This record gives sequence, C-alpha cells and structure tokens, in this order.
Amino acid sequence: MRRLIEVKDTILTALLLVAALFLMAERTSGGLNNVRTVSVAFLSIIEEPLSQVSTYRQALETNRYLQRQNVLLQDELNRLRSAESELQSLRSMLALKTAGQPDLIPAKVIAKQLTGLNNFITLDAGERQGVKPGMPVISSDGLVGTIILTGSGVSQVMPYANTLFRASARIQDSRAYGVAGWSRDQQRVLHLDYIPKTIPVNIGDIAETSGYGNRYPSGLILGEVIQTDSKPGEDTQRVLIRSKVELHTLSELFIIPFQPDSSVQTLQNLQEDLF
Amino acid sequence: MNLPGIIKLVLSGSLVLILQAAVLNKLTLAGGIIDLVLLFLILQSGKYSRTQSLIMAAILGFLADATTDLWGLHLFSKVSTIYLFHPLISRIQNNRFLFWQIALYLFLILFTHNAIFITISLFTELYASEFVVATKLFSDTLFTLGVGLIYYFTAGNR
Repeated sequence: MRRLIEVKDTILTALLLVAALFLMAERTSGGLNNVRTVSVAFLSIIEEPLSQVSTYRQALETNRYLQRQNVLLQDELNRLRSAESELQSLRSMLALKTAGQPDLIPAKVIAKQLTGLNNFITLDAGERQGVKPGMPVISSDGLVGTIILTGSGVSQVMPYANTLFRASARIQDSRAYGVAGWSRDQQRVLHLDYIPKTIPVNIGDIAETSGYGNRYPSGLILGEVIQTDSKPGEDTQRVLIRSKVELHTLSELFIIPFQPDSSVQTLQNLQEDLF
Repeated sequence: MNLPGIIKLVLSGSLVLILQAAVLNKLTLAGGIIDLVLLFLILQSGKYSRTQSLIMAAILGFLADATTDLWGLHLFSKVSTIYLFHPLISRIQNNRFLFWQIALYLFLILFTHNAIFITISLFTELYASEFVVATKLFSDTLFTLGVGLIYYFTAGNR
C-alpha cells in the first residue's frame, strides 16, 4: 500500500495517457461526435464577436475583388447565355434531362483554425438552416470543403487544406479523371493523382469536381493546374493544382444542399459486400 | 488547497483557455503560436504537488483539445511534460536562478512538450503534415519562450 502511494503519480500519469490515446482513437471512429458538436457550439459563442472585426476588415478588400470579378463574369455570362440557349435546344433534341440549380445556403465564417494541424472552419449556419454533414461548401472562387459536423446553429467545415480531404476530380479540357487531395506542403496546393500519362495536362487548365465520388456535385472548381509530375516506371502522373480559394481571408461562404445519391451508395455497399 | 484558491485557479484557467482559443490561436507569427495554456500550467504547477499538477494538466489539456478539435494531443503532451518536469519546475520557482538558466530550462520544457505533441500527431497520422513540424517545434517554442520570459521578469519575478 505504501509503495502504491509512492508510485501514485506514475499510475495517474499512465491512466491519463491511456485516456489521451483513447480520445485520439475515438476521434477517428466518430465516437466523440456529440462532444465535438458541443465544443464547436461553445467555441462559436466565444469567437463570434471577434469574427465581426475580421469580417469588417476584409469587407473593403472583398468588395474591390468582387467588383473586378463582376466585370469578368458579366463578360463570361454574356457568352454563356448564348451557349445556354444553344445547349437547351440541343438537349431538347436529344431529350436529355436538365440538371436543376439547387438553392444555396449562405453562411458566415465565425471561427477558423488554419495552423496546418487539423485545419477547420466554423460557420454560423447549422441544422436550423438545413445544413447536414457531407454537404459541400463553396465560395465565389470554388470548392472550399465539406461539412463534417453540425450543431443547431453552427457547423464545422473540413477545408480542402486538410489531410483527410479527398474529392473525385477531372481536368476540364482533357476530361482526365483523378482523385484530389491536399498536398500538405503548401496551403493552397492540391494534388490530383491517378491521371494516366497518356492524357496531356497543360499548365493553366482548370480542375473541377467530377461528381463520380457521390460526395460533391460535378463542376465545382478546385483550381488551376500549376505543375505536372510524372515519374519513370509509373503509368500515372501527379498534377498539382493551385486553389483560387484563399482560406485565410474567407468570410462569407455558401453551402450546397447536396445529398449523396442513396441508390449509388446502396450499389457501392452491395459491391463492397460482394468483394 | 482552499476554496478561494480553487475558485481563483478555475477562473484564471478559464480566462487563459478563452484567450488561447479566441485570440492566440489566430495570431500566427512565422507559423508559430504562443501556447499560453502551457505557460499557465508551468507557472501554476510549481505551486502545487505533482499529483495536483497532473490533474490540472489533464483538465487544461482536455479543454485545449476541445477548443482545437485535436482530441488527446494536448492532453497527452501536457500530462507527459508535467510528469517529466514537475521537480524541475518546483526547483525553478523555489530558488533564484540566472537569466540564462531560466531561459534554458524553460526552452527545454517547451521544446519537449512540442516534440511530444508532434511525435504523437505523426504517430496517429491523422493530423500529420510535414511542413508544420519545424514550425511547431521551433516557432511555437521560441514565441512561447519569449512570452514566458517577459512574464517571468515582469509580473512573475516579484
């Protein structure tokens, strides 16, 4: 007993370290989701007043940027309008279904953790606004990330700059398909893997979501190709993409109320059961 | 530990946690963040027994994990650091040391804490990101050391 008292600090430390390891393991298996939701809600209460300061600071800069974008988009819109009417007539000839434009849920950033370790963003929209885990988050510059946790009035986003981020993607011009993930080395750079070497990819090409992963709708901009890297002896090449979304200055975002197609999910589950 | 002492400790601990979560985690300088929670823990643990300090480290570590969504990492690194360095921390606070000695000891404690933190994060492979290793290890250590020394030679050394 006396010896036990002497080593009580060691025993206490061992127990606490085991508890810490348990927390690390439970985080990945989703066992802490309820606690995480509570902590996100609490953190948002603390950080909301401070987020107003950064929002106003960024407002002027964002305004200038949006005005410039507006001019460019107006020009593009004019060209797209004529293309749209042509597309409509061609679609009606081919009797193809037209994809509907979903309503976007606007949200404001109330907290950010962009230190490189488990980056995340907290938004002021949650279950009350119809936000659900798995919904994609976009800004005017492209895909920002995906909702991973929701509270009643808040939600947490896993941005593209996270080691767990994956998206099925394609290059617009070459229609080369691959899987995009964060490059880790640079905040705004993503890598796109599994693109066959035989498909040429050019610097400046635009990468977007393909819609194949059943997690994001197709056509969400991921970024611009800045580098291609093919190693001898490998069939595929790695493409580096620079996202146009600057996470540090983000203040307003939109959530797409996209839900994965359950029939596709069922098929995937059936296939997994088979093999 | 008396009741007013506990209340004072809880209030100051809460204030430090809120300051860390709401302000300091956003203020990055060369990628580094000042770990005020760890400084608070080092400062307080010299006044209490090792067991009490370990419990304090566990509570603060758990709450720091909750505010950064890094479940287990702060808890593990802070408890390990206090277990390893509590005798040294008590010695520093109960004796008079030269400036360079305090700076060296504090650097050693902070560096070890960050080394444990990084090692565990790499081991779990969940938060691993090579480019943050050097940042976390050196920038965080140096910035926290700077703030710690400023505090020690102003308010803490009275």
